[in-house]
Amino acid sequence: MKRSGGFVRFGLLLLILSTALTLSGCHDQREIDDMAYPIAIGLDIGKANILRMTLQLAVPLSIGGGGGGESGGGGGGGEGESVSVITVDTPSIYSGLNMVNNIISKEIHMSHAKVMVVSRKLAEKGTGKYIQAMKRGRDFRPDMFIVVSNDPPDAYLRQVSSVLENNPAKYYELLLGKDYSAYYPDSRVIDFHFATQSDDIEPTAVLSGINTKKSVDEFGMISGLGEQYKDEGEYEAGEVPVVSDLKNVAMGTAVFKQDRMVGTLNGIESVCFQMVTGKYNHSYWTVPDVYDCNNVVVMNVVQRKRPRTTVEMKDGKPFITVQLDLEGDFTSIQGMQEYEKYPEIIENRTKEIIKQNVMSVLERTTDEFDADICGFGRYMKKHFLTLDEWKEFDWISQYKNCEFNVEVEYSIRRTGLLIGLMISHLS
Amino acid sequence: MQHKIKFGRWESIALILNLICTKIFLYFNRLTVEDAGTAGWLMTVFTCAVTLLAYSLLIWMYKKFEGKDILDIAGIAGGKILKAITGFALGGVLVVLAALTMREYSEDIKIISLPTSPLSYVMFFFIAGMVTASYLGVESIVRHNAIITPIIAAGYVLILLGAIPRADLTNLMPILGTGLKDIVLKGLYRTSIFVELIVLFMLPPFLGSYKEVRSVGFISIGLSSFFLVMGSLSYILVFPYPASLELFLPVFNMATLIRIGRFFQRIESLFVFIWVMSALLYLATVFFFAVYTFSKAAGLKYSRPMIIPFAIIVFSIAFIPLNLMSVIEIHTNIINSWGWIAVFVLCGLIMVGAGLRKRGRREKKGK
Repeated sequence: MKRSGGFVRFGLLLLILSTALTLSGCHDQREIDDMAYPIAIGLDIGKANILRMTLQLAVPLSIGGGGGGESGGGGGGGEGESVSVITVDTPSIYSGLNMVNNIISKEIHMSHAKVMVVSRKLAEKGTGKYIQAMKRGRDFRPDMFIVVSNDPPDAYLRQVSSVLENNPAKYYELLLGKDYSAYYPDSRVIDFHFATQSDDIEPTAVLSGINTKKSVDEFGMISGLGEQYKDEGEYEAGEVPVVSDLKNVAMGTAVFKQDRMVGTLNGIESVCFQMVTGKYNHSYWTVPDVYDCNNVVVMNVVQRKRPRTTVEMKDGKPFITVQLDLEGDFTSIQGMQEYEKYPEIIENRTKEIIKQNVMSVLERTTDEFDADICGFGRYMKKHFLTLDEWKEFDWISQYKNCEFNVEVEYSIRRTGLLIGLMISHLS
Repeated sequence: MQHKIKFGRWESIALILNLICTKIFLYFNRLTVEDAGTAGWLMTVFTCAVTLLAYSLLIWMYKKFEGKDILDIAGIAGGKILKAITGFALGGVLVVLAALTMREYSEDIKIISLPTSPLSYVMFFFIAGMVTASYLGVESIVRHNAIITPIIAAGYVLILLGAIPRADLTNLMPILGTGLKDIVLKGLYRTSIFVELIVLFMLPPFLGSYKEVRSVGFISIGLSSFFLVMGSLSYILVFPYPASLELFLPVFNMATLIRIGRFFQRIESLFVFIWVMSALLYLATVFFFAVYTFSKAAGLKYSRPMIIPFAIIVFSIAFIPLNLMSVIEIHTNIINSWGWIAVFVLCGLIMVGAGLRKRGRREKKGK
């Protein structure tokens, strides 16, 4: 008995030793320090080859090396740049990675890539073949953001600098994934890919560009001069009158039909688009004062409930009804009116403005883009029992005939920390 | 082969549950969409209902053979020859299942976690697990199932809960998917997804009473049905058709989508953990019962000496399919299309034959 126990112990020891020796140096062992992590990937039409691929690589020493932690603010943290940019002309994404691996000392690993930037030219030509490659690769995250840049991605990614953030990955997450700006959609590669495959929705992407303005002198005059204001949402990326250390501006939506870009929505149109899809969170709306055109009323508008959408056939045409349920708080009343006591006037004016804007966006999707970016096809599908019937109906070609009815419910609930201005009593 | 070992209801339920539901991690959810489109979950409901009915019939026929496994019943029906044929047939199915599932798991692990490791290296660890478990015996396998299966189930439910924010009810439309005909016809032969019920018919000597066997079967089929329907339904809700047709490893893909704030991401690491546990348990159980069935059919007193030779056979069979696509095709078009013959037809015919033989003998004695 004693002897056999010794054998078992010896066997166990041998097993533990052999396991420790073989597994610690196994085939897929990788040191984090031996890897290079791109934070952003840019795709454009190439010259020396069909694809121009730009990688924005994180420089871990600069990201982690700075004093003051992540919110150092303005210092840039480490001793050097927190990112390094490399551009290659290549036949495909993976061939590009091969080429980059020949240049840099570390192995490229895409698992931390946060954003894919596509040039407008390439987006108009078609992005499907590149996105499916990313979907197939295990390294790429499905929740990467997808951005269309008016400028070439190699120039764009060199201009992107995260002044308030040491960590460029966190910068992209905070910029493109935030829910307090509604002027561009939350577009992820996975949703984009699904939408390109689908026959009931079309894909969209964030529209971004480089702001080249160096001084306020470069700002253009507002069109009508006088006291009229231009709504901040009327701009698109690259046009925004801003001077900043941060050069990239995200503003607007790139509209696709299948995998080809067919147009853009500006900031306010993007807000309306998100209201219809139910992905709108909140934003400030500026409405002209009903009794005083020199002043405005500003409200924080939020979506109270998800929109109610119905699609039915009327006279052989799809008829789409969208019911929006919104509520808001006063954040500024510039004029002398006591709208806090009589909010109905502003409520009705806001309803009209929102309805006009939403109708205008929906009509653009049928007349100009012929692309169901709001996914109304999903609501139409329930009228069919089988996939064959649905395919026969051919929603994609029916969409341009759609007619819309938009109903807006809007109530002002709160007045901020003021319930009235004494100046209105004095006047 | 004496059966002094007995185990309880819960252990057996956990064992059968893991055996049937492992395919959720591999291909099952996509398979339902391939068969019936957006109505894949309805087809699964139909398949599970048919399986419950078929099992009710089988267990009703089994009533006269309390404490006997399917090989003993085959012995009653056709003597040693039928017992051997049945044993080799069912054992063969289990060997093929073990080999193909091991190959599929290993290929999947290569894709997800170990891309540069040789396939044989990945498979070696599964084989080592199977051999060790088989040496430790059925009691050890069953007890491990009782502990690990609830952990796997909890991890899976966590993934489903995490994916809820991505669920969209409109993905279920059109409600009948590719049509009622597909739901019914394909739903019928997809009862093959319960092919691992073969193991349940090898359990009675370990379980004892008829009542116990009956309740283990009903509860494990009921729980498996719940997880299979939930798997298919959640997959269809999260991934829109037709993109849902193209995804390899449905639950892994679902786990990659989970994102709750900036801090709770990359939940697929949990998936790999529960997935490998489920794989090891599945392979150990199927392998043990394959060896056990063959040994019993051959009339061997001990099955332990057969473990290493069978491990080599399983390892070799696993290399026969040319590539991952071939393995998936064999699973989809052969095992999950014709497996019902092994479980319901073969076992049913054996029980009918044994019943008739028993009645004949009784009548003979009466005369």
